Amino acid sequence: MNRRKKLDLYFLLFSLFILLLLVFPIYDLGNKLEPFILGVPFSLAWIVICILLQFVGILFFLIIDKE
Amino acid sequence: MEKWHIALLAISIYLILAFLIGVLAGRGKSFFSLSEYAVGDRSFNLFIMWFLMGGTIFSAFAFLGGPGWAFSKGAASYYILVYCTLGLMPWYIIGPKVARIGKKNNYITMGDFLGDRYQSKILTVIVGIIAILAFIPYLTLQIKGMAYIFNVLTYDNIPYWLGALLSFGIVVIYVATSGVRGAAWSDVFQAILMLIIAWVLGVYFVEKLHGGLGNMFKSIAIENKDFLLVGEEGSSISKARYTSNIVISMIGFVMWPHLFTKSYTTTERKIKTTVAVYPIFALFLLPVLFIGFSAIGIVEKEAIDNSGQILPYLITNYLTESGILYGIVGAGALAAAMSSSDAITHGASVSFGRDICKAVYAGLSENAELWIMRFAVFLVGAIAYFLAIFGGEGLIQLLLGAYGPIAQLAPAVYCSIFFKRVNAISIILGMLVGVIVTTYYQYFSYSVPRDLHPGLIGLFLNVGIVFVFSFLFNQSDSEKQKSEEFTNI
Repeated sequence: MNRRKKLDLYFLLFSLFILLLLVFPIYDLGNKLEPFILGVPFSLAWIVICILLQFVGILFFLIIDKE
Repeated sequence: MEKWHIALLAISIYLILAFLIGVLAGRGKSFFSLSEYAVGDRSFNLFIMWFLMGGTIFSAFAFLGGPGWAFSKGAASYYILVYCTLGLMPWYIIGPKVARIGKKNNYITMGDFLGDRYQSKILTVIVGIIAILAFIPYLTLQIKGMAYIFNVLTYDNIPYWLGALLSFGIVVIYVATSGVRGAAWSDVFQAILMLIIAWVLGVYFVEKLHGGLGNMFKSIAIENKDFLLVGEEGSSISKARYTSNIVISMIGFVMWPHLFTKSYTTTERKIKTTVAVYPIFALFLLPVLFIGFSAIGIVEKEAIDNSGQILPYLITNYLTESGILYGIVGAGALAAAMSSSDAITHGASVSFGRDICKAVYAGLSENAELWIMRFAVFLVGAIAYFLAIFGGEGLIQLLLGAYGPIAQLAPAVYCSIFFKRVNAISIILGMLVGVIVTTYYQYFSYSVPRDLHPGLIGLFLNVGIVFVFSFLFNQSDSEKQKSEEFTNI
């Protein structure tokens, strides 16, 4: 497997990881009212955190993927 | 001067600016080049790409529907955030490949791409038709949004037909003259405007009506503890439906045919960077949801006919201080509707010219094709306009379902890049069965198995058929050659 394909595979796994965090059954962990974070219920804060995590993750891919 | 005069003035200034930016964007570029019109000579930078992609998604639906969902359905509205975040991710892998093959073989549409890979003109035409059938209802919705905003903010002084004609007319003109570049530059302006307005409104309503986010969410939670959760007793959406909605949008999002055309406007590296910065756009959607949540406990459910009216209701009842503010909000909402409709109108015109006219009549000269596309801007625009203004509610409901089948294009796209064996017949059969099954569950069936999204059931069958028939039928020699080219790119 060449480097390109390997990176694509890792990216796919990363996408699936983020997807799983945001859908059931794993979202059960985030699907709670308490604690409120900065005034926002945990169920919504969880999603915002995932978005930030995804952003940082893709930036990381961009940096190592310099073709 | 009455308040609505001032509002109208502010909206007019916005419209003039959007028009000038759109028309002037094409200045100094060749008016007679097909490649310039369709894909901006493949030269767009990251800044423009981000706004072009973001503006397209951030539509009238997000601006009016987003607050409506938050107000009436609570946590179900989180789906909008998640959808925007995950939607573009698969594009990181397939986008650069699509762009590379496209540049090599001079594609400008999804129909080009799939038709060439499977060596089938019929497939090109089918993709073109599916694309246009999906674009028109999408446009119709945006136009309805524009008409509605105009009408509400001028206290019924500007009728529906005129408001829509003014704002959508401007879109049609700058798309026809400046092509994708016009759409892109006006999107930059429109997107900045609507993002600022969304944040200002979000913060303002939360502070004014509840005195802060914490107070607002706590009082909502006291009223109904499940409203801010998914799949609980008092929630408005089941876990299965929520999950399958997200899965199907992650698959369907990058299948929007105009996205292919957009990815031919730039380079591979910039596609990846666009995907990376895209989640930021999703975060900008947060205040839109806050606007809807802020109305809970303040506005009675009975006060509005449908939940999409919640933002205009808040503005007309709780933001009464000045006409200017009023007008600016109107401009923001119009910007959201217009920045989606320009990219879609452009996409539809390119699909019509390339996937339908050029595929049926191969001898078409490039110049004629370009003029057909320009003409199609007006044609598609007129159809969508008349549907929006004169179409009955039932008709519009029916049309809305038309973009469900978009996800059925997914097997064709993914297989073209990753699965060598697949041939035209299996793709076409799978697509047709997928579309029919999806349509059946959408309109003719009272319940969907396990409360899944209808598109997902269509997709299961679609994938199954593609897989089985790929082993039953053989590829032609030219198709074999193409499959090598596409999988090795």
